[in-house]
Amino acid sequence: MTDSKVEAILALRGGSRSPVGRDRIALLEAVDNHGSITRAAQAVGLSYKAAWDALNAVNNLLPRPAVAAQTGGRNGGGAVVTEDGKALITAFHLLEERLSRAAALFSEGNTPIDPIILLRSLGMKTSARNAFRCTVTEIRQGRVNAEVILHLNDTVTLAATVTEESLRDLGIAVGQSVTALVKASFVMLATGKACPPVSARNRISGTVAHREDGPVSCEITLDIGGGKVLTSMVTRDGADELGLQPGTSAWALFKASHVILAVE
Amino acid sequence: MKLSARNNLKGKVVAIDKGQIVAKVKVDIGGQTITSLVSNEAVDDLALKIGDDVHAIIKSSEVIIGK
Repeated sequence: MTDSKVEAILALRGGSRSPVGRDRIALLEAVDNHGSITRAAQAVGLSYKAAWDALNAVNNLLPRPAVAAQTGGRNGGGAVVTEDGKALITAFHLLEERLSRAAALFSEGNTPIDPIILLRSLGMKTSARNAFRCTVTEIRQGRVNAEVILHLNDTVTLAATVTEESLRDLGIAVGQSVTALVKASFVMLATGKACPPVSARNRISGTVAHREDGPVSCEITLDIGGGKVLTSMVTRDGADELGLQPGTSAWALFKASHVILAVE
Repeated sequence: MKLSARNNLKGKVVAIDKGQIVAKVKVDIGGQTITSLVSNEAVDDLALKIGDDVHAIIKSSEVIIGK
């Protein structure tokens, strides 16, 4: 275990030309701030020639230039960063931030270095407490809605109702891996031996693993087997009435229309 | 069965309108009607038909209040 920070270094290269990394992006930002290559070069500690070469490398990266030189004028010509150049700056920082977030996992001793986890940390994070990696096993299509049946593990199958348009946009097909997202507040809880006779398509049995009480709300974590947990947010009144405590058996109920599907 | 949902309204099914995937079920709750969208499969599983005594179950976090 080391406490030294792990950082990712990003460089973009067009063909076999010299790569554009953080220093060149910083120079591009300096041009944007100062409106001149001369002053930008001074700001980042480069000679004018070195700055000029570096900006050419940046320009070569994009189909249209990132910096447009304005010849003539009072100061022997200014320079402006184009819309494409500004987009490059934003994209570079976003990529670098995501890469660093993924690379930070290397220094966390408790996280296995798993390429899938690393890649996932590059993507969007959501506030939904329940995110289940599933495989699509069946798709029932209607005119507007589609019902997607998902295999979570050997005991749990989920149903998600999404629009036909989402199905097409996301290119969801049988056999594909998707992530099912369910907000904790969408999950209702029930007790009793038999599967509750309600219309909710998703009825998953589990055991209360943890209960966290707030003044009004109560967060219940259910162990649903196979190393999976499901988090539910209910009122304290509801949790008390059901007598939910660690070890209590309970059903998690949520509508198919409350399941959001995400693909990578 | 005990439910965490705070709203469990007793009523009678007055209409079922099945689509291709989703069905619209209207439930009369003491003169007011609650409309529910459930899957066709749920209608079949529960063998829902007009006149059935049912409960409309709504989580308190789902209720919007207007004034």
